[in-house]
Amino acid sequence: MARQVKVLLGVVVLALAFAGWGGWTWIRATNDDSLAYANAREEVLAAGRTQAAILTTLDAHDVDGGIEKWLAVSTGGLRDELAATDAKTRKALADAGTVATGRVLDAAVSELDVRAGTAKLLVVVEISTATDGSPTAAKRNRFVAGMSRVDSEWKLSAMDQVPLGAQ
Amino acid sequence: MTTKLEDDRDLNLDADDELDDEYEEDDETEDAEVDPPDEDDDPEPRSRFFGPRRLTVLLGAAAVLFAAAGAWSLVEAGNLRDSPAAHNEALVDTGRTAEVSAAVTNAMNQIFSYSYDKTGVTEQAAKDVLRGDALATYDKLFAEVRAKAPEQKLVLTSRVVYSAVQSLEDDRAVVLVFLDQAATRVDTNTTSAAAAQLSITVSREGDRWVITDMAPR
Repeated sequence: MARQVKVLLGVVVLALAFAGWGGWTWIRATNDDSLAYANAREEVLAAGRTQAAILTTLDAHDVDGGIEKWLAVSTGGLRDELAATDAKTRKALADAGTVATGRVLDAAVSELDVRAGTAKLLVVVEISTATDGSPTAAKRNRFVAGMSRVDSEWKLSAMDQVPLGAQ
Repeated sequence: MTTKLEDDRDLNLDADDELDDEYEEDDETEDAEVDPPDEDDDPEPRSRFFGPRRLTVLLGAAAVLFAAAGAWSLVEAGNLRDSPAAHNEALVDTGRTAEVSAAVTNAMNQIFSYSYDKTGVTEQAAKDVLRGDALATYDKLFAEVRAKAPEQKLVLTSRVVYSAVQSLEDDRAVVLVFLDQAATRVDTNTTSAAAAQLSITVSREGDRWVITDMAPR
């Protein structure tokens, strides 16, 4: 066997060992529980921020569409509650002519149980309202949001305003 | 490796050609490697599949492939570990998360509680735990309280009702707190309450956390 081939074989063996080491390092990183937990936390936070904004937004010109969006981001008791919005309430909302727009100013995850698929978030939302085109003052609201994992997707299961003297 | 060609046995040029090659690879001393007719005039005829040049190319390609796979895996692993999420220990390190949360809660309760007749306690707590921008923000937030307190006999009580650690690194953390504040005017015996939300940035100073920034939310 030519010397060149022997040297090359050696190089291949080294490269294979390197590939094995790289693969092992990668597999360890993907199976790192702390990393998975940190990623879940970011996922919950991102979903919570988006969904809290949706849930505090409603355009009186499209009440049904707005409630549809609420239902899409909620689950459990919260969803049942929202789904139970009757025709009378919907009409009242439409008649009021108010456009409410929620914007999340800050949010943080306070509890996360990845195994149970539950989480709790603190969310600060600024809700600006405009009635018949004329804007009124924006109001800041603080919420404790509950989240549940449904089919690998995180959704709001509770969205409770924190009143004074709540605790 | 068969490199020699001793004859041109045309009879051997059939479907078994490859089998012969494989067999002969194991036995280098054996002869009789046969090339297809179209290579007959090659000055250095060699095996179709295992000639040295071909082998060199194959081995080289394998080496490059393995090296690339290894490098790619390491980059992927590095990406996973170097993401901002991976560096954020909030909730991941439960002990330190609870510690920083407790430190901020205690500090908030102290520096935002104020009694007109015991102003020194609050001033001392603020000096203890606030640094830089946080001190400036605090002075601004508290200027009115300080100005009105003696005359109105003002007593301000603040209580953190919820807190959540947003980010936690080695020597820095950000905590979101919800505060309930009650202000009592002893002169008129009236109480008013207010809700506040603050984003608190803390830094490690020795063995404790100090507040370096406060932003109302």
